Amino acid sequence: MARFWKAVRTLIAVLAAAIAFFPIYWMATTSVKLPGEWSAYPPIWLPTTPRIENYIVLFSEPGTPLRESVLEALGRGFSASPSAVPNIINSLIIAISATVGAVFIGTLAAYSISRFRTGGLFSYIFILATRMFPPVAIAIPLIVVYALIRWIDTHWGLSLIYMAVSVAYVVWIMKTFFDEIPKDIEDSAILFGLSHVRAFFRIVLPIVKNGMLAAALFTFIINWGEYAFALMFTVGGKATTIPVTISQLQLGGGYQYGPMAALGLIALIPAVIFGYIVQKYLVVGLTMGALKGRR
Amino acid sequence: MTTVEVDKLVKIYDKFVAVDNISFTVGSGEFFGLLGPSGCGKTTTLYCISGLETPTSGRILFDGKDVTGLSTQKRNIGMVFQSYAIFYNMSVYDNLAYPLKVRRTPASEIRKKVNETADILGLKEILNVKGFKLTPAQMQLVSLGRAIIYGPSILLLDEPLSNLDPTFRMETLRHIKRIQRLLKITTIFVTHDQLEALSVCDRLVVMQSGKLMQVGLPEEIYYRPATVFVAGFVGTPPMNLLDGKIEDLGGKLQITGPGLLHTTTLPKAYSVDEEDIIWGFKPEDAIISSGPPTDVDSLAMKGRVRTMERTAAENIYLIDVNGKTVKVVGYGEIQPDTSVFITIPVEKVYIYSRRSGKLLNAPPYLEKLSSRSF
Repeated sequence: MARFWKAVRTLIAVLAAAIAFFPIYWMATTSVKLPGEWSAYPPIWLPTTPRIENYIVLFSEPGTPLRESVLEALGRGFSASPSAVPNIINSLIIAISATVGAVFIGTLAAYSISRFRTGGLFSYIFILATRMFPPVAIAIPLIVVYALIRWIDTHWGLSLIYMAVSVAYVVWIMKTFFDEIPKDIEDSAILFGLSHVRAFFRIVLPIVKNGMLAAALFTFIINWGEYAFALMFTVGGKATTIPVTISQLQLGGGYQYGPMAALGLIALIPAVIFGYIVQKYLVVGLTMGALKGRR
Repeated sequence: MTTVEVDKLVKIYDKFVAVDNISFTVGSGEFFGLLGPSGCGKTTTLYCISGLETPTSGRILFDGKDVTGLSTQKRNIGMVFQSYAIFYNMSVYDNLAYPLKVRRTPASEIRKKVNETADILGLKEILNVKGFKLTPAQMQLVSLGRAIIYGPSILLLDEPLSNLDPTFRMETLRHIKRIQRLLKITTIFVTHDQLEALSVCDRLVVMQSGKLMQVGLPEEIYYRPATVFVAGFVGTPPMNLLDGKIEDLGGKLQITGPGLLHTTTLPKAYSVDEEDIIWGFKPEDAIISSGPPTDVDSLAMKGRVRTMERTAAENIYLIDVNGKTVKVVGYGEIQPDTSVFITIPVEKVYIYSRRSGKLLNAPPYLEKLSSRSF
């Protein structure tokens, strides 16, 4: 009987994994399919010969010899979409700067709230409450302000919005980490002769390093995939990010499933790499608790 | 070698008076205890001495110099925290070396001092172990090592044993005391455990609700508890305290009270001018008998044994006397529900004012320590 239930459990786990991985599988195979195969019926589960044309279209500008050679060989099916390379760079700049900023500000704020009860319970709850607005609720006034100060379609502008949005998560994650550390840690560092500020940077921060990495991963993934703000605040195309680029691939010339899948797969890479680096710290970070101590 | 003087110290948080006007002096090289129940203000007092808390009023003096306004960093204090405050992410070696690094000690000297300290504390084997992998007892020693490695003039211990296994406590405490003697460092030890405090402290203060109850040698605290509170706090088990009345019958003082079988005349040494009193006796000073006592000069009570608590060497009988529970230490088996008589020699009786709780009269001061108390 025990073996039966074990089999059932395994089956459920395999099924759940399959459901979770199917879109990624489909995206990966679509990215190496030719236009005719994208939405063929019956579906092509595994293309016989993987093709890199989707990636060429994605990475080249229309009119360049490389792009022309693809169009010549395959004819129609590809639209004249611009190269996605600048937009990938935009995404990297905006998501990374927003993450670094949010983790820095959020960690300081969390320490202040955890140790000095800055703002009392109000600030703690209020910071999370900022996450309860739907983006459109604040988008209109923001657009007006941004238009006035000419921040629309700038890296800086979108990055600042992301930072403001994700700092709330950082505060909540980091506060729990700081709450776990006895105040005695700073006190002893102060007794050794450090100032409180140096005790924070030299002693406390290294201890919560894992928490900061976890917060950074979380923040990065949210910022990297954000769509609504990016769509509204990058009209003009100078600071367009990957999610918006993917949606633009379906305009003017039909659905570009191949390049879309290729870009989607590329968009996964940083999150996967970052997640892989951070995962071992994540486990340590989450089990570091059990260090009690009070005044 | 430094003396510490706490002068009229007051610490108020919002409206809560944590420390209420206390003064005491710690001699150079002394192992001094701050004893009291949780929330009595002993830790707050310690933090004021360390400079981590700022007194609301009053002064802290080191060697006669006022340090109240001096920052913690400049007080040259070593401190062991209740949570040990080990830097979990560093090895034992780095933990010990840290205070020296902050003080820009040359690397060669750091190595020498860390090795010396590790030798004294027996940490040689675990120098490369990371902080979060240590056992509580090891953390405790590392924390102590880190607090003494830079030669502080004062060592503060904030309940250093409370996170340890009971079996380790006394052993660790004696270890700490040995090191303290070796370094001749002025040490202030905060604890809520009276047995610990009485065992190792050269002198101690007892605190309650922010107020200082008594300062003295362990023997004084144990044999002459200055207030009802101290009497009910020290001793295992602590003193029995019962209501009573003292009457002056033409120069003779007579004590009566609920549960007492007969009126007893107090010896000449006693002089009490209050009528309503609380009288007490230590559980080890009473004698249990099955028949009524023949000695009419002693205080006597009749009661019913409710239960018996066994300890390693003797038993503690919980006896119902007139609705109150009296504890008496003795040997041998007594079945619950047995009627017994309790005799208390009159020279072992403590008398406290019911109004102020202060000691009015104690048995003649005992020079020799009884073997069971220490």
